[in-house]
Amino acid sequence: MSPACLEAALTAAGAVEGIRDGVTVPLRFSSVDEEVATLRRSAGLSALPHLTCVRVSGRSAARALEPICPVDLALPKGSARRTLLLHESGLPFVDLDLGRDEDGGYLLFAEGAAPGELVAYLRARIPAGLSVTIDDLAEGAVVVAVNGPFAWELLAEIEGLSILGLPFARLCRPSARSVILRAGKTGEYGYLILAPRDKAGLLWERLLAVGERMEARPVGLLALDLAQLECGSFSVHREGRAGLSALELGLTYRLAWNKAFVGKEALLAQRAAGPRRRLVGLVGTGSLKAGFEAGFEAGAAVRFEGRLVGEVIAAARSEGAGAHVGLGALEAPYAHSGIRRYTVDNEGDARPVRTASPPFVNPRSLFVALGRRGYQARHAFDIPKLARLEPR
Amino acid sequence: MDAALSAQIARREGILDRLRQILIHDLGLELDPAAMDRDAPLFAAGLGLESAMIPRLVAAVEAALGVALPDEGLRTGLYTLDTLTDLVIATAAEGAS
Repeated sequence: MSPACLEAALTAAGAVEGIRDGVTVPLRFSSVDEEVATLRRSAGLSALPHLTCVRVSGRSAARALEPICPVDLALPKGSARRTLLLHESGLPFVDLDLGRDEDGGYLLFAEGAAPGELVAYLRARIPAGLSVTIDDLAEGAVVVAVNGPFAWELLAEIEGLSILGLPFARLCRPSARSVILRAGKTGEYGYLILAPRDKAGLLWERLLAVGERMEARPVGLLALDLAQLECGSFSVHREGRAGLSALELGLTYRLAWNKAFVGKEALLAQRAAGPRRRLVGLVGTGSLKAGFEAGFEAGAAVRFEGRLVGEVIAAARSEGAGAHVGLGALEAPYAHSGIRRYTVDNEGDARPVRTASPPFVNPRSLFVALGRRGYQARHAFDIPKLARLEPR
Repeated sequence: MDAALSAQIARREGILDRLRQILIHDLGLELDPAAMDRDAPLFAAGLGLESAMIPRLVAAVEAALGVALPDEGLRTGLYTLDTLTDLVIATAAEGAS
């Protein structure tokens, strides 16, 4: 493999691989806890080869996407919106960042689709006879991400100080073949870099080298998953595949209800009838620091006075939160935060659990002014403790 | 569900509904209450609040719900409608104790 090959660079960095959405991905490089700590302290470098990037262009691009996408397509050039693409049932298909390119075309950064699935989804639903071109960018490009309270500082070293002026949910083209989208799912500053495949390895090496002085490190998908759970950010691979609709997932704010989109009718019907279940945050009792780890696992039953009221959808031990945290899909009347009367089945025991409102941590980026003082001055920032919720 | 849990949930829902009305009528956000998920981020790509609106939000919440929200609580409580509800409830409980 050539030195410019991202796969070679990831292997050299010690990537432990797995499969996600039918694509080989770097799951971790060191321990997940260490990688999350890096992401919360400085900057984490991630390769996201499973992200599907599609460009929709042509005279009728907006008309083609109009009946499909639950977002107002009259986006200003260079701006982006986080939304979803749904199945007709109202269940999520992909988590989507939809951007408007400089030439008026649309860039879709989608998570949750296997190779070719997004293009097939669009082609099956775009009205016939429209002048539109759909390009799957996977062959020529791959996404590298930088996340962390000082991700902006690292990126500025690579791309120049002008990147500091890129607002959230905006994209730019540093070159004809690359795109930078300011977006992320960890609660920290985040940037997605769509880089040419023949340059991605060199980009990765450069980010690592420049990031050394700020202790930036590779971060795999398992750490990103945990960081996403910690900040309560929707995961298409986790709660997105639990059979919950966008309504039950609490994602209706991402949808433009004043227009047609795939899945709208199903959601309206569910809204009229009332959702059967809803997602709610869960926190285990006890403190990790106290050494009392009352955890719970995905798939476990949640009960109120012995009666089954839901199940755990996601669970993880979070050093940052100082507790076991997770998400439960509960019967709608029971799915509220602040309740300390539920239990979770665990190895034959009924363990107390409390419902809570994510985020479970205070993302450091909220307290770091982008472009002001950098990583070397990090101790001067007045930042609350990472764990947001007091242990029981 | 017993009466105590019902009452706790009803109180929480009441505060959430009041907060939704504050965002719409006091802050002028053009939002459909049915689409204002309690876990939606208050700012940016969520419900669209801007940081400049925070003083008005705090004043409206304090006036409507009869609490004095602590500065430290505001630093870590303005993530979602749910976290703001938590802050209101915790502040009210501290005031009562």
